[in-house]
Amino acid sequence: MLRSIDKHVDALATWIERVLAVALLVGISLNVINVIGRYLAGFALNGVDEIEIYILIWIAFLGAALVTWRGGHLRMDVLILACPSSVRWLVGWFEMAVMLVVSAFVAWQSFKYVERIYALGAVSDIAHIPTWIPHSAIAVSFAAIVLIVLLRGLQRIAGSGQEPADKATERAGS
Amino acid sequence: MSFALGFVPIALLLLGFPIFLVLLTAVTVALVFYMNVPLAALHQNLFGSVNAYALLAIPYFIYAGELMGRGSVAQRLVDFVQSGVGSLRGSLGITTVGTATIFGAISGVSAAAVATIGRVMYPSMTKAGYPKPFAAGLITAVGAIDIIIPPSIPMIVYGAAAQESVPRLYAAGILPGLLIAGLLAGYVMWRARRENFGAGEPFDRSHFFRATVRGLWALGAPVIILGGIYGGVFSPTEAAAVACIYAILVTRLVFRELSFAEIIEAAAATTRFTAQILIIVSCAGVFSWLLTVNQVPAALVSFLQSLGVGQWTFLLAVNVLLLAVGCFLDPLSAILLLTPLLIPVVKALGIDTVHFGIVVMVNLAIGLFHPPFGINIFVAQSVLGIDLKTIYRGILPFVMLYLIALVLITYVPAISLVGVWVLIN
Repeated sequence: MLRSIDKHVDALATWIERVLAVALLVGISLNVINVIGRYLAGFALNGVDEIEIYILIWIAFLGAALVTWRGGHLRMDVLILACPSSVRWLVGWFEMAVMLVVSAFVAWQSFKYVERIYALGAVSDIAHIPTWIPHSAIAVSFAAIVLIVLLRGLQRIAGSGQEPADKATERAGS
Repeated sequence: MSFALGFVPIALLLLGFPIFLVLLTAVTVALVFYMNVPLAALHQNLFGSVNAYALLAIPYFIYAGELMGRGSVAQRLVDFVQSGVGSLRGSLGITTVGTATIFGAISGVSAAAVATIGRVMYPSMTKAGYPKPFAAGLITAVGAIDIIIPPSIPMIVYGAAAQESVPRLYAAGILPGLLIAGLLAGYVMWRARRENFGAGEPFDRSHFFRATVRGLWALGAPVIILGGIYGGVFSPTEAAAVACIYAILVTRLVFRELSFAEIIEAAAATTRFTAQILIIVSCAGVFSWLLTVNQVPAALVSFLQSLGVGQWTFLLAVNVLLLAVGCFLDPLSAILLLTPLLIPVVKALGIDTVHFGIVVMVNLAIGLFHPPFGINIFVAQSVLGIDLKTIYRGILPFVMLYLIALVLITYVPAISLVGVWVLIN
């Protein structure tokens, strides 16, 4: 059951990565179109900067959830890797608990903020994009991190999960 | 408050927590238990820290480097540099230094340079009789130039953290990068002559011409980036975007090496790397805001002023601190954690923040290959299959060379600032 969920989430993560990759290419293309337009055709697409920044914000936060899923966050794990496995096991649980609480707190605060600006109907200055769209990246991503941590926790209880530090060891060796 | 902003981050950092979680936990503890501010400030600062046009240059430069590093660009650059070096003693070693320097003007990601150039040059050097520790040390050390030569990703992050102009930082990085390259090349020649290895082939004009033609497309990327920025044609972000399109066209249509699927895969890899960096940028933004509203930097400035610490002493202390931190922490995290604390002191002491930025870069560049935990050591070990003992034996002379460069760059600000005077002012 947990393995099946793992496989489906992995496929979803890969799909989201592709979407973010295409979004990045769209952002780059818009930027270059503006440069070409400015020098060769004397025009500029209004609001392109805002669209690019909003793409970046989604890449940053949703990408962070994906990095959490892949166990690839930057960390200073030199000391913990030198510790006995029992200590790593304990610290792994502690890390998961902290991540769960903090991410849930951020997701909730962010959700309340997005709810407010949605009610206000705020839009961006130039492209007139509803600002709840970029702002919701934080709520969505930290909610996703909460779900990921819960799933990883269940996997560890079932004995099929890994300690974060072990993941880091794997990355170093890959 | 010192528990939230001091004990919590240090303890979690030592426990090996992800850096973003270290910062976010400290912020959450401070906001919930110690401060009386609206909690919406958390969201506003997380969002505001990455809501910046200048930060777009990070994924764009990473993507351009990712594309250029996947095809035959490294080999073409190697051929170009080697054909120009000719019969100089240690020609392959000098070629390695020259190629890494040019690659640094395309990529800005140090580990990519070690892997890409190492794959081409390490087998060539060992086959030509270079001592293995020497070749391994050189390959591992030379990639660190990439975070000093523009375009450098850590410089963009420093620019955002210190509110300093990226073009000024880039201009300031050129001469220090070339100084380090010169020191490395000089050392390679001296070792090659002393130990009698690495005789090169005589300079051949037609070979040089052919290699130059083959390398022209690869050399076009730094010309577009640096020429565009300092010619006043593009902003750094636009230069990065144009470099991406250039890299797609060159690798797909000219070299015919990358498929569309590989171009998308490179973009996906870029988004992963970008997210790793920007989530820390975002959380560090909130942490930095908390430090400021709690007047921690101001207290640090007052404390140092009460001790009568001058520019030189402060810079010496910073060098020791950053060298130590750089051994354990990646450059981007180190910049984001320390810059908000150090910049107010730097300004109070009258040190140029651009010069200070370059000092930070050189320190953290050393950390990239400094034993025992420099990340480039593990990249070389994993990609090139060199054992750690060989790398450790070979790396020490190069650490010394970088330290000499660091002393010069720290105490002769003109080495950094001349680029700003010439290209910006």
